[in-house]
Amino acid sequence: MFNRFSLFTKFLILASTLFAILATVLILTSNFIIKSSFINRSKSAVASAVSFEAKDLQAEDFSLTDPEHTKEVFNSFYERVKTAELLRIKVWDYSAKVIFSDDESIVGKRFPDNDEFKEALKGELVTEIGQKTKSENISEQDYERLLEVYIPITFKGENIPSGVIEAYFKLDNVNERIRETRIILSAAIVTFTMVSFGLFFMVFRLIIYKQIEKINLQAVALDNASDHVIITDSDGVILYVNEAAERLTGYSRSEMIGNRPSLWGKQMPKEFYEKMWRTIKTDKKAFEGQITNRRKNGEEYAAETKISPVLDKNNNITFFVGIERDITKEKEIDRAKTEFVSLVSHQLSTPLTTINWYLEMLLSGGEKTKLNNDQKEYVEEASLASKRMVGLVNALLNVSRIEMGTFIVEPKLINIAEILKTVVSEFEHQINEKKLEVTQEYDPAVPNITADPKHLGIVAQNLLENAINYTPSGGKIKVSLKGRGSDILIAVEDTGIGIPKIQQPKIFIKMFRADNVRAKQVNGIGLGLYMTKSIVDHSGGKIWFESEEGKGTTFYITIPISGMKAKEGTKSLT
Amino acid sequence: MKKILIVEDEKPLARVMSLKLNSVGYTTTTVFSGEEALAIISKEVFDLIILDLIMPKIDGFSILAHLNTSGIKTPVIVASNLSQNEDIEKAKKLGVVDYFVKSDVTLVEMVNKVKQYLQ
Repeated sequence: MFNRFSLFTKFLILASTLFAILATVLILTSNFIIKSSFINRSKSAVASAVSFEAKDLQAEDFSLTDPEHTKEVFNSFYERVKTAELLRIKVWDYSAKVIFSDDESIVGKRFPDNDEFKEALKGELVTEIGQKTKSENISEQDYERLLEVYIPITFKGENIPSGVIEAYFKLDNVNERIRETRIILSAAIVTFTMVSFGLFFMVFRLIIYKQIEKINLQAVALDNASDHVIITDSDGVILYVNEAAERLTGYSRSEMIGNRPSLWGKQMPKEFYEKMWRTIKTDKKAFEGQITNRRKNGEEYAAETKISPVLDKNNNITFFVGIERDITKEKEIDRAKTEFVSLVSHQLSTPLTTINWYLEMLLSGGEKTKLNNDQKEYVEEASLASKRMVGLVNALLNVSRIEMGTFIVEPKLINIAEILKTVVSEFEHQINEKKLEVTQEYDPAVPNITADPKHLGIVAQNLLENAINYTPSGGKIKVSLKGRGSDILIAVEDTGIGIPKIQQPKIFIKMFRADNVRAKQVNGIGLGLYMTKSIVDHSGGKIWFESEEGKGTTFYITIPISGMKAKEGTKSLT
Repeated sequence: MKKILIVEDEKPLARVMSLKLNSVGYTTTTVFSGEEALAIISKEVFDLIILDLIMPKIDGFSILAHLNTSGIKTPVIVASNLSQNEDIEKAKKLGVVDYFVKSDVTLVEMVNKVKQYLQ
């Protein structure tokens, strides 16, 4: 199944074998038919010739009283039927006694047990081929080539046979004709078969070749796939490996085939393999996971692996297909990226902290650093900008953690209304400054759910911050919470500038900022909604919005009442 | 008077922390490297240590490990800009009483944390 022969070649070999078998069967059958038909024909020819000559025989000719007469009659009969092929003639009377033969030694003897004679005496024409015993006075090589005919003789004026003439003929001539006919017919059959095979081959090429080629093409693709692919039998013995598997493990095809994947595996804890076998063998499901393996040269590598059982009609495992992708490089890149992000954030944060803390010293300073009102105002501006910078660094860090999938989800039983209230209170200063009217409507029937309070806080902060930033002074904002089927629905509604219709589909794209927002020069880098959507998506919730430019926007978020799923990771969002 | 050791390689930061803590009545000693920190904790006893993590050569984690092995029970607050969970967990395993990310807190908040452990 997996050797180097192409499927096409194999199919042709199979087809030609079938045609050869067909030709052989046809030749054997025709040989049999030819033989029996020729024998039958010569048998009836002999029988009719002998019967013709015997038709004038009279009962008196058997007269035992005059053996000389009998001998004379039969000698004359013998002379008439004698040909080159006639080897022997016997004439039996009804009591199985030979009354005449060209072999005088048997005249007068009785052979009462001869079945053919008994049969013939009933009126049947009996023939036999090559059955003579050596006792008959005939050369050995003629035994195999004899046609023996028992012809019942019925005398004139009688109804039932009174005797039997037995004659042996050589079949040499007939056999010669049979052989000739056989050669001609066999040649015809071979020619016919070859022509048929040729025709079949052409049709096969036209109709099926393309299909086979397609399968071949898939085999080539599999051979050259960049992922490691192996196929094992149900016991895990390797039947097929592709080139990538040789490259990845460092073992050659011949070293792997017949062996087991443990050749390069065995690096993981026992429980890992137990779970793997349980999944693929007992549950008969595909197993996916990250695995550490060892190359032939001893080097370890990380791989993303998927093993799928192949089942037959009765749900029995026939094969396993194992796919591995070397993720060592990706892991290194991931690590490098994480280190880079951590380094950058650290390097940016340190000078920012210095700025923030010295500005704080200035603003809170005692007599030594007493600032006048203008100075105080300027320092406050600098301090605000610097704090925004801290927020930005944190946002960038969060985005990179979301993208790397390394952030943790730590769900706890929480009261969402409490979290929303806290977030609103954090923005009190900005709300008052812009004279916004903020209403909060929390349905007390909403149950506590398990969710990550940090994530929910980030989501609420982003939505509320946008509402505040993009709503002109004196506008209205409404934060609400209620149940909605099996979900909890949070809505943040504002009477702000809205999102232009044409740009609505892009609003969740990273770094995207709508034109009207850019024009107003509100601070922002387009990460908030991207991050919000990522968090909501990860928690099994949904986010969408309704917006009309110049009138306002409402963002909706649903979180399943069943809660967020926990996720292991290395970094929490801040 | 409670004595606080500040271990921070970023000199301006060490200075501003020291200034603020002095202004609320604590005595502070400031060192700018892991080596100096190890030297001083072997000689003097402090009521609290404020420790930075990333420093050249001997870093904060090594100092925490040293404190553990030498049986010094002085409470340690980590003041770092490392905000990854794994760093926080690692520090907590080494016995720190508190951990804050410098860029996320104000000086006033920092002082409040210190007060909490010096009651």
